[in-house]
Amino acid sequence: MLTMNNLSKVYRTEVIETHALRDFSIDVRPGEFVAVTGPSGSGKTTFLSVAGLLEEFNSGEYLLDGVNVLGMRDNQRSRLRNEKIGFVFQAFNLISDLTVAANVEVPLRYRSMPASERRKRVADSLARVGLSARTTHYPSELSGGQQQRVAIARALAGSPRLLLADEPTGNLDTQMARAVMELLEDIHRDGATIVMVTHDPELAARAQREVHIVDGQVLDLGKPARLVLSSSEDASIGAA
Amino acid sequence: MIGYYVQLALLGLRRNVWLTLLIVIAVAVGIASSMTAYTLLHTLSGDPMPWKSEKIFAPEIDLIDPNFKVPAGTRFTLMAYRDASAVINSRQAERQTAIFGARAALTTEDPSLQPTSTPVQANHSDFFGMFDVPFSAGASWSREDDESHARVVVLTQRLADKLFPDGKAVGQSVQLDRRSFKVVGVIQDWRPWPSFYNLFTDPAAVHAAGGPQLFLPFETALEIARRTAAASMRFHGGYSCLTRAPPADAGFEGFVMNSDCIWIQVWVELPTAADVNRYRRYLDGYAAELHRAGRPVKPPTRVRNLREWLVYNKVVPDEIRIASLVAFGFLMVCLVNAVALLLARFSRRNSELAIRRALGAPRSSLFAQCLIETAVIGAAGGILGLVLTFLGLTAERATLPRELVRAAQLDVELVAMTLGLAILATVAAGLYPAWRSSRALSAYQLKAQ
Repeated sequence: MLTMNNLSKVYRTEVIETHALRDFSIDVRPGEFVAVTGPSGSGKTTFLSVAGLLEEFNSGEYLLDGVNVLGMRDNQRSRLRNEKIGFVFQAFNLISDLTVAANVEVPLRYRSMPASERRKRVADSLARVGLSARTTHYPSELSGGQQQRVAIARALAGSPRLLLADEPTGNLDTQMARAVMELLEDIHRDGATIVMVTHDPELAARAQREVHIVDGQVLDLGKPARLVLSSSEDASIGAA
Repeated sequence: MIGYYVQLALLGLRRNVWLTLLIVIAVAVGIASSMTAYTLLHTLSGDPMPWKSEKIFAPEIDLIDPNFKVPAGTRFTLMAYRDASAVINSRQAERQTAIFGARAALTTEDPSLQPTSTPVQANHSDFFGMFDVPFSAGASWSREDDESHARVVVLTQRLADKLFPDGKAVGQSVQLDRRSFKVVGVIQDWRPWPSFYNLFTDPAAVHAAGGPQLFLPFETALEIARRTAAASMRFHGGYSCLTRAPPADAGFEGFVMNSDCIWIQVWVELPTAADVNRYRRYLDGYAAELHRAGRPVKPPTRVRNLREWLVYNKVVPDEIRIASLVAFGFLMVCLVNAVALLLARFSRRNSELAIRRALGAPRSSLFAQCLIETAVIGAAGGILGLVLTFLGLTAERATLPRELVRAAQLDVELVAMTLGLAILATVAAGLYPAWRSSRALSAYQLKAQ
């Protein structure tokens, strides 16, 4: 689903050169739930930006769903991002002056999709996250957990092959975080490929595989020993 | 997508209200100043008869004493009576008319009406056909009337309504110099701008009264002037002597009929290029005759068509051209300010644009979204600019010379142009900010939310 081989990403200024990713290789298989961990400044966000086609890389190879993205023009990259990737951010990143429904509709607007199809997808996505009754609300009228669920609905609306989540529970209290995590696990069980950046070892433990990044390089920890996917939150955490 | 962008732009107007308002004001003030100046310039420099201006000509013979120092900027556009009369009587053109302006004491047979000083114009019958003057009743007098010095007049609808409220002016009589003149026609409201046909024979005072209200045959008017020695009819307009001026006791004949001083505007209609060439040869020949007769003719003669004549006579004053340039310069300054404000406005939108980008919007879409938002702001600036333009034109009407007041009008064309220019100028100002914002990204902005 997502394959990076010997990829490097360098940020240059007049005085300094920062190697954010070096010889970075990773392979995420379809349907996999991968947690990406690492200390601050290790390159997690850069990895997510490159994986999400938000930034280009300097060398190496990146195949997204079998498509080599090297040399693609902006329009092609944007279309690929729109069709294949869903983003969930720590800060939710909802557009404050759009309603819940309009926010969820945003990625669909960049496809030539009929209005009726858009409306159906928005309704389905919001139903999936349990927010059908909040379509006309504005983000500021929702709790943090609800906002993150709207963001997940927005990511799901486009039926992406890959969900990239950057600290999705980082701004939430424990109860809300648990609910959001359960939602992600539900989505994964339905077949979605998820790559989630997190600082939280407990959340990382709930993924199928943990990839640790240090100084822009991958240290693949493989399947967390503690991981037991279970229908029960306690069983999952308890198994750790 | 355009509908979606417009919808977003309208939503966006509510965001950063004060900043948006500042941009709207900057655009509106720039647009209003330039459009106010442009209106005047456009009206003054317009072709008053675009369908015919290439066929109407002003012949010119310069009568200048060799010892006379001609002031810089002097325009030779009028003729002396002797020459105007000769040119008209030669019948070298399809139509020809001589024109001078005056004011005359006018009454009717109704004893209750007091004599009123009325702006009048003396011209030949061809004047009406040459300038396509529209009649609402009756018609022009004839060439025979010109030659026989007939006592006939044509009234404007305004004067006809005033003198004959029952609505039947044609066939009635008016009194000039205690003589009865028959009304043969009434013309509709016809006030071409600029008032080119009598630019120098119809001074501001006459024009401010709404242009000439009564037209009468050229020679008939001269007869009245001669007979009444200016008691019943006073000449109005330019009277220039670039030769030795007549002695003070020269009287009417010396000053008006036989002098080399110029005061009559002559127009001729020449439909084809061959007609124009033939007329040039005629005028050259006539000037040569004058020279042989000892008249102070300074070659060459000229035959300028209406557009050339307007340019030559600087119908658009240099001050107005300069004011227009300054106003457009001011618009540029306002737009530079708008660029800075738009940069500030869009920089506040970077996070939203970054979100859209992450969700699949290509840079071209974000660029289009920003530009359409700019266009909507421009339209708002245009609407406010229209209000300010209206106020500017109102102020202009209060300060301009009266003959220019009519130029300061807000019409449909100006409204469309103001809105169009506002949108175009704002979009132009928004190009760089929109481009910059459409490239703004990325994960860091999303993370920094």
